[in-house]
Amino acid sequence: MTVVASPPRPAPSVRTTRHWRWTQPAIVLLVGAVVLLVVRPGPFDLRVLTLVAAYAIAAVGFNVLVGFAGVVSIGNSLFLAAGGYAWAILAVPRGPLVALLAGVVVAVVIAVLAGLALLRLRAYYFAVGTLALGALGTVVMRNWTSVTNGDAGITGAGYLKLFGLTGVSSIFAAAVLLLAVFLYLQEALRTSPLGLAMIVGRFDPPVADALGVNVSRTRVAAFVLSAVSAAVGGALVAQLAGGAFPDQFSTTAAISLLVIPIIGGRGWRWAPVVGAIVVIAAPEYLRFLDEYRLAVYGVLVTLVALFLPGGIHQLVRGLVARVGRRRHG
Amino acid sequence: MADRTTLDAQGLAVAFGALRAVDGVDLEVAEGQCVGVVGANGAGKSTLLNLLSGAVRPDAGTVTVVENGRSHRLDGAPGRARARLGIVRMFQTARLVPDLSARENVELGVPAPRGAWLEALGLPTSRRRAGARRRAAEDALARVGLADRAGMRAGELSLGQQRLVEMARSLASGARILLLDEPFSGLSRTAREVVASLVANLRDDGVGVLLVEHDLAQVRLLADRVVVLDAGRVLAAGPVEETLADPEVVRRYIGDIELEIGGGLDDARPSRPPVAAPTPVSAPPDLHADRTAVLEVRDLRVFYGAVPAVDRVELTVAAGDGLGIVGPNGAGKSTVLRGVAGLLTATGSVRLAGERLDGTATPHRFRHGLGFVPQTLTAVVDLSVEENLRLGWLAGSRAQSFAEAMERVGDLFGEIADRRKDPAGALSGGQRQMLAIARALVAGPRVVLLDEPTAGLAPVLVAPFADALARLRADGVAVVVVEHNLGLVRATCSTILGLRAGAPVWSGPTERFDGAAAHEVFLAATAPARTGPSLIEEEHLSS
Repeated sequence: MTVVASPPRPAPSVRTTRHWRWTQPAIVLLVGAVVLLVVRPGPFDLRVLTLVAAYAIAAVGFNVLVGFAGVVSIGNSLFLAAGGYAWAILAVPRGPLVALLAGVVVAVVIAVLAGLALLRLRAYYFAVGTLALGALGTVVMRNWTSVTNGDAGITGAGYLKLFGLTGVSSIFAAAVLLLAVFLYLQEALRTSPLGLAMIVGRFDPPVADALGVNVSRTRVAAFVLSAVSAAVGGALVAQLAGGAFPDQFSTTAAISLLVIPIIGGRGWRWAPVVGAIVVIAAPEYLRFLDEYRLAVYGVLVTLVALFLPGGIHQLVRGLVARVGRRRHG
Repeated sequence: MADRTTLDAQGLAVAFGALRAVDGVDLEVAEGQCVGVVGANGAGKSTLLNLLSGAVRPDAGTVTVVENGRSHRLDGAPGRARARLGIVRMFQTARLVPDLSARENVELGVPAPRGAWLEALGLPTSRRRAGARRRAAEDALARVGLADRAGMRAGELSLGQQRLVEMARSLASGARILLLDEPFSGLSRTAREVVASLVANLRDDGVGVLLVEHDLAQVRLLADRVVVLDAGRVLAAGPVEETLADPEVVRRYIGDIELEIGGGLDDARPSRPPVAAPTPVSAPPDLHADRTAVLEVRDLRVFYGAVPAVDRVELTVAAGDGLGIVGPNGAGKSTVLRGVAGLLTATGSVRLAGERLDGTATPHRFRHGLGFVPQTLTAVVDLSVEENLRLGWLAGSRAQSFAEAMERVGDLFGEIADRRKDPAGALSGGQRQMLAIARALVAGPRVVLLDEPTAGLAPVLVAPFADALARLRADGVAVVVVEHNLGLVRATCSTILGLRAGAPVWSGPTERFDGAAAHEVFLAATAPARTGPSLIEEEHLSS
């Protein structure tokens, strides 16, 4: 250790950038419109993009859960399934609004009950508990044949028709619209007392307690929010697949959800979108590696854990800082 | 009484295993009142705060808050319930969320009105509330002088600034009762003044303040009453000056004096008023003007981050001299040693036998005649005593051969040399401390710095240890010792430097370090130095 003979220099004053809540949804809507109207991708590409948007929606809640509240769940495939099956069963007979809301309500009820029961457990045990929850969901999907039609699944689910579009284009538009809404809510939450309470509860539970924050209640709230966004994402996944099938909502889906915010950078407001692009789109374009997909996940997550604990956000922050320094000399 | 806000604790007790950390403490804080809680390390001060704030459940006793004429029993209530009643606690170290901006961290303290969770939906009505919250946070930041830092991430602020942000969070909370855990530790002098005036203002605005603090000068300045804790019990309580003059308190606070070696403070209680004029600090004792100084430290400031924990310390030691550095906990005694050894960032000059060492790396200083014995016993337990000593020799000047160095160890610390083949882990605590000193000695130092050498040493070993130090001095090695045991200091040192709150407050020959001087150093018995123009403008709040 060398000793400097002068007092340490004050840190350069870095101001956090102010976010306007509407910028992010506006960018998403704009990009969505450009893709749909200008780029006009082929059917495969559009499918992939729609799946990315659907998973990004589901990952918004997960970003809140992991990034704000600091709780890890491996069972959120159950909430995807709740949204997916509710859509597949109800959309045609009862209409899209009922189907969407029913999925959300079922997911919320499960999340409240499971959250109250499981969030007493410490971090890792909670994760294991949710893993069991997800496995339970798979068992129910496969065996409650009167409702889920077992392994065969439910087909003929229908989709949301918007702006006179048809087919995947319409699902894509719906996904982009919903994604914009959820990103708005994410930023509104982050700056609200509830969001701040979640964040302090993650960093320092004793301080949160001293500030009057009920940490377990904010954790349950985050868990419920993750269930809501997963249910909506699941409904879109079902529309895209034309139905609900057990394989769509397996543990692999839950792990994708977990990996998305971590790859993106936990708590970063772009993490759900950036993470979904990496986790969902990349393997689709690496189909020739088919059975190595999980290996790719594994390697990616390991690399991020080793070199980028802050996810892609860390990379972006580093680049922004470097550009800023160059600009200011 | 009925409509005053008070926090009242009766018979609070909690034990951790066999340790009765807090053992039957009664305490009352009323609005507009500042109650100081003082006591040695481990007296139970922080545990008491934990009990009052709800972080720890008491085994026995009651905590009651009277607010708006309503009385709330809070014995087992969680911290958040107390926080909602206006009992706000500030932690000893700044505990902010590093990723949030300073303003957002302060916003966390702003009480959330009913239905605040609706804001999470981003409805248009939330805008007004968010604006009000933001203004409250910015006002609070302005009161601690950090208005221009509101947008900075908390993790990028200096430690002192983080503490001020935490203070702002307490301000924004609308606290009725504020529990402060050493709010002045780690702050620069200017920041300390800011916090002191904030606390005084809060008290005058009707907030009840419980102030746990080591720096008795601040306690004298701010507190109306003081509670002295000792081993979990209330040793004394009452008006500040009277209580701090209580002979029992003086005895406990000034000395861990049970281990006296002939030279303890016979008269810990001053027979004359404890206002004896302290020796001017700027004039180092001229006792050994004829002997050349071997270690000369001028204008030493030692930094933790950007904050000088120690300010303008001067010391001079001649060959064979002993200098004792004394002072209350947190005065910066060990910090001085680490600054001299180059283990912490420091400014000022350090000369050893005329050679300038400041600005050089620690190993360089060790090779050039500086020895340092840290507080923790650091012998490598798997190596033998001789191997441990050889490590010390390798790091040193190697002016003499290892065999010669070992001979010297044999002369001074016979019992260590006798066990040279044994693993260091087999030595007793006292022998290990001697080994640590011997290891500094084989490096051939001219000066040895010792940090709390008797901490953790059984009382019976203190006298032989003092004897070993005397032999070291007789051998021509200068000794600088930071020590709580005043008896040891008086027995082994020729001059004494008293520190308080990072600044020298007394210096002179050991014979003149009497009861009054001890009062001045440990109890801040004279009025706290009202600093004029600050000496350290450039590093203040906005650094």
